Amino acid sequence: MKTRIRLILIAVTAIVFGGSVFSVSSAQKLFSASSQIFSLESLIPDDTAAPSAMRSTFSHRTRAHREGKYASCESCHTMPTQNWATARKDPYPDVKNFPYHPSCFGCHAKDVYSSGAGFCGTCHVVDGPLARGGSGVLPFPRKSHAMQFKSIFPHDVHQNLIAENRSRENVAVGHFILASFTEASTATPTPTPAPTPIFYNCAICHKSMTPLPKYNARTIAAEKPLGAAETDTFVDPPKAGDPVKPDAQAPTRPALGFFKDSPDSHASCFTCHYQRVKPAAYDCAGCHKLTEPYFEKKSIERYSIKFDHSYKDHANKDCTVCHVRITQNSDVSKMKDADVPFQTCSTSSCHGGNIEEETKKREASIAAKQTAFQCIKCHTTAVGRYDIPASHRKY
Amino acid sequence: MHILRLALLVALLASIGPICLAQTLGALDVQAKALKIDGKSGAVSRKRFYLFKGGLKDNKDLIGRLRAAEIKSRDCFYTQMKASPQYICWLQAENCESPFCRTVAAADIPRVPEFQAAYNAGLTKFRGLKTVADDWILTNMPEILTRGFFDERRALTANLLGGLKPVQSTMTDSTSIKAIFIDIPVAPPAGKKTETFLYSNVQPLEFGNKSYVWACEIEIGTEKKAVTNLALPDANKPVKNCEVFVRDLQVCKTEGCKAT
Repeated sequence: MKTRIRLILIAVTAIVFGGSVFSVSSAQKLFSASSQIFSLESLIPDDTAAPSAMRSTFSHRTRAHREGKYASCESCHTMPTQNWATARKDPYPDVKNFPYHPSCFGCHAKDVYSSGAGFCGTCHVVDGPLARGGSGVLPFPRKSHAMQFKSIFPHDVHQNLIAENRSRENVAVGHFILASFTEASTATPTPTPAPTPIFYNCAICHKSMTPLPKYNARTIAAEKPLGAAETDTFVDPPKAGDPVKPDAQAPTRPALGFFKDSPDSHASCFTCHYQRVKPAAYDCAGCHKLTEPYFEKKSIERYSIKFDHSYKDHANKDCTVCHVRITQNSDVSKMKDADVPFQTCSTSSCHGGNIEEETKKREASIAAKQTAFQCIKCHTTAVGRYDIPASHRKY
Repeated sequence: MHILRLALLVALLASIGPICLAQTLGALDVQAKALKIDGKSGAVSRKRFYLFKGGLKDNKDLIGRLRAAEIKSRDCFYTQMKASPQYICWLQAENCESPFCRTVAAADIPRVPEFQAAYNAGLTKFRGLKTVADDWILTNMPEILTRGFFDERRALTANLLGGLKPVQSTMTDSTSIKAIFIDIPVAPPAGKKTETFLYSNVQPLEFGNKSYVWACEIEIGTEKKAVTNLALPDANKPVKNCEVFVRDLQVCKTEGCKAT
């Protein structure tokens, strides 16, 4: 009898234990089913290749998160979120919060209990059942996590749109004159000067970076340098009020005006695209395309870190004088860098001579079997110590 | 032995391949700084130019479409779209084609009814935030008055191209007023060092009460950059290697813009 009772108890314990171990949420079941059906389809790498654990990093790349009902971004994301007016100092309508519980609980209700800490911690500061909706939520978007989307931005279309002809044609900036009657005043009114118009151009989106970013010379891994890098010399940029730098020929140490930033929020896009002008704010996929997760580089890498955008003879030029291909670019994600083709400098009346001069110095040093001359007009020696590439010799 | 020879040939071709490839790219500068229309320079600043394979004869269908092209002037477009005279004057003031040309200053809002209406709508929509209503004024304007003119011109360009794919397109800058084409794939015919191309602005350039279209052929080689100047016919003397179409535009008078 005792043995029978023991056996029953063991069986009951096994059923209860087994049930808790093998229970899966509907989301996991969904994945499990789809992974069997689509197991050979791997055109887009799937983060759910290991379906065992719920991750604290939400992935947009799982099949369940990008197909069917959830193929549409707005099935989860609200534009704008309720907290937009309080979420930042200079508020504007934006997505500043995670999707609300109904977006997740359709499939994941069970996961709150089965893997509470890991699951709730995706969005909440407090892991587990103590997490409260609407409070204790992590900042959105989470900057510590890898980016999951790349931006779709056609420079060519925007360049077409902002193109204008500034030759004025006998029309004052004062525009239309409102006819009105005013009583004669004894005091002579002081005419208010018309404000200088601010034209849409590249600077609408690309401003000088503040603070100064980390920067490095780009590495040329495929080649062997001709020698060890010599010491680079820089002078400090002139301070406000200083007429000129002490040595006009010496390169200036990289400063704020050297580097331009790019939009990293919706702010500049929404000024035109919030509504009506497509893609509008609610159409997330109009601008964001799912991609391999990535982190943006923390340091800017350039072949030339001696180019000062703010130098007077650079600042007075249209950006497209050097960024020649930008008006042709229809997909910003295909640009590998700011894209200044070498010809724009080498064929210019300003720098054509510099390149010729340095090329001659390099050739002379090699002919004389001396240490190879390192090109320093545009490059730091980290780059200038390599062989002169074919592109520099063509034009 | 035969295999060895074949392997050597492959190795040789592989080594000279990249060199040949590098030599098949050319460049072209279309310069327009010296060009004056009605005595004014800079008319061709920030305008798109297209590059096509073949010369004028090879592209006669395109030339035919450019010759027959009729464009609606900016003023006529906005007048027909029932824009207020104040709005048209605001565009004219800095010769803008659309409001995406320059920012709407605070002082412009009460002067232009479309801006005032958009600003008021923004205040309601954006929880009374004046800065957002002000900065995002264009999102509250009717689309036909913001990107309508651009869309119409884009459709015109598509019609004029008629499915013809340009090799490249680029825009003139506003300082050197030059359209620079680089990395042009050049395949000179046997016995020639250059290939014939055609460059054109396709979309008629509106200046004053006239429109201007250039279609010019140019020889591009791989050894040095081709450079050409944009010109207008002088006293009925045609521009060499070019078809230049200058047409009168329909005038839609706008009242009330104060002359300088």
